[in-house]
Amino acid sequence: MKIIIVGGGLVGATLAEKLSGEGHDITLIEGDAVMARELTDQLDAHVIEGNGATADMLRRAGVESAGLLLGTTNSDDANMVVGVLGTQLFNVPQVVVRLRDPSYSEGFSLLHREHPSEYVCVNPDAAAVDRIFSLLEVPGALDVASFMDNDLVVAGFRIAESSDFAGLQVVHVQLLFAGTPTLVVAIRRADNRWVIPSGQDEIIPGDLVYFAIARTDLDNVLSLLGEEREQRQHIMVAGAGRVGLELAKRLEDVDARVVLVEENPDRARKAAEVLKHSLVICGNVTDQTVLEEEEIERVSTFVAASSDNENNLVAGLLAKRLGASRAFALLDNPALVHLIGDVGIDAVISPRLLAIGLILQHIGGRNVHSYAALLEDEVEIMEVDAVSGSKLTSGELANIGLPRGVIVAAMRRGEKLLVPRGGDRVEPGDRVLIISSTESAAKVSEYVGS
Amino acid sequence: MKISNILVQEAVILDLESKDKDGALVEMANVLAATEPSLNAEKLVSVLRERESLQSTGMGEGVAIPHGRIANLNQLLVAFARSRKGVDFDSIDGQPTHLFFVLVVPESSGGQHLKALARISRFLRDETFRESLLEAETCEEIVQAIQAEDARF
Repeated sequence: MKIIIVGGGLVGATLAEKLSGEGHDITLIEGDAVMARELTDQLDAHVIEGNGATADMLRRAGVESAGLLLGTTNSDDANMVVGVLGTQLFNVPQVVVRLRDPSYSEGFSLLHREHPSEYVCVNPDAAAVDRIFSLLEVPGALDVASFMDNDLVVAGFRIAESSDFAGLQVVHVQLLFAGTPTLVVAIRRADNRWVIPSGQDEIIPGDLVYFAIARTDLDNVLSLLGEEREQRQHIMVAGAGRVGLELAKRLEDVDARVVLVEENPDRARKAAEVLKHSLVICGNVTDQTVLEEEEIERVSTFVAASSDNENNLVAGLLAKRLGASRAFALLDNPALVHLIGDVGIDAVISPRLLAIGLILQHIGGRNVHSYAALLEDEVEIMEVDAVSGSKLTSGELANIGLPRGVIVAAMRRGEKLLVPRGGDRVEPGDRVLIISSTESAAKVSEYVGS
Repeated sequence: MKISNILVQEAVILDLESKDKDGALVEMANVLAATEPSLNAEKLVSVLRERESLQSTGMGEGVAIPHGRIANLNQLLVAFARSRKGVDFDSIDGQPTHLFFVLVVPESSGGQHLKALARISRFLRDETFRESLLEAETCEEIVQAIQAEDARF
């Protein structure tokens, strides 16, 4: 398929790389001359320098024969224009744009209600709020994603010495949870090596272990990990921007105790007007006295959600040092994200990585329902619809030659959630959860496509 | 949770007579049911069979942990059995099984049975422990070996 991507920042460039790896024909339009040159060297894609939010430039990129148009610049305005041109003028079959401002996405859907193009708005901030909310639902988890209509979660935990899982083999987890798709799907060892495990691999204290967990097994898995659900969570949110404010609102809905700290007095005042019973403090969260006055040591989770990456990192570390049980930080800078395992922040939420995941799952022809990349993008999880004629449905799982590092972890047939074994076949119409190392992900698409 | 607090000596089989999987399940169920009046041996066998049909509890290294839930049971029950000749238990490594822990839990036990299963699984990974079970001459020695392992964690 011919795909045009407007905007070559982290999101656009990462998508160009992934999609060209899957064999698509990619044209990327980037406004900045220096970046455009760098992208030409890095990517297996046709890179054009110019303003992609114009009909002329889109035409030059070949929009008339494109199956998919992506608007991934840093500007909502430009992405909006790309969306309008793609759907109204060029009738591109599928258009996906990134829009941060919710009122824009609303306008966009009104505009396109009666139009044949399929369009999708992806909002990284809303995705970040969703992710933080899922993390808060699973105590102790450093990373969480939901699949199979929320019947299955994939979550990563650091294994404590005292955990009942410590010293067991991966196969024992299957012994404990026979009949449900609760299993170990990936392990990151203390030396940062990722393992897509086989049954004999041992779970060692200090490992970061990713489990697929049937929703019905969640409390049991938490109990074996030594984690407990709190009666009423006490959350401190730093930054009343789009993510922080929306998160506070949703936490009020589940009756959490919320303290929101915002440095800008205007923003703090606005937040106080919107929120019903959260405590809003105007102050600097990297100031120790502010945190101490708000009894940071009693906070169950501190969420640094300002738009300033470095500030979030510092605030998160400070909160942990002053006694917060867990600290999450919003970080969009990939270089910083890679540092994280070592510095003491419990979970990192990258709106841009989340946007990439959302865009990938919306792209048609891939039969993908949900998609998530685990911490540091080393492991990918895909929920796909099995289609007839695909390699995936061509025989018993043990005999279709799935590449190393690929697990078919769960399968939904009708209402039932099944645990696929080597002797089972995937039938067309089944919903399947596939876990793979990022290296093998391109090969997975060969199995899924018809 | 200490396994040695749950296991009674009457529920230890020094050498199984059965050579096949189903016979071993029946033999172990009978012995365990004899120690607990409220436990019906036939019911227990069918629960264990059902669990085995999901996936064998033969974990390799000569070890199996058949288990199941029973309604109206008051407490966790454990039996231990040993087979000198070995039983073909469809274990994951294809090797005969010599050491069996049977775990039966009340239907309503929540996560308790998982903790017990995890504990037994962890014990059996210890080669020295497996050897002491294989070499024990009497039921008492087996119970003592399990007590010693329990004391380590």
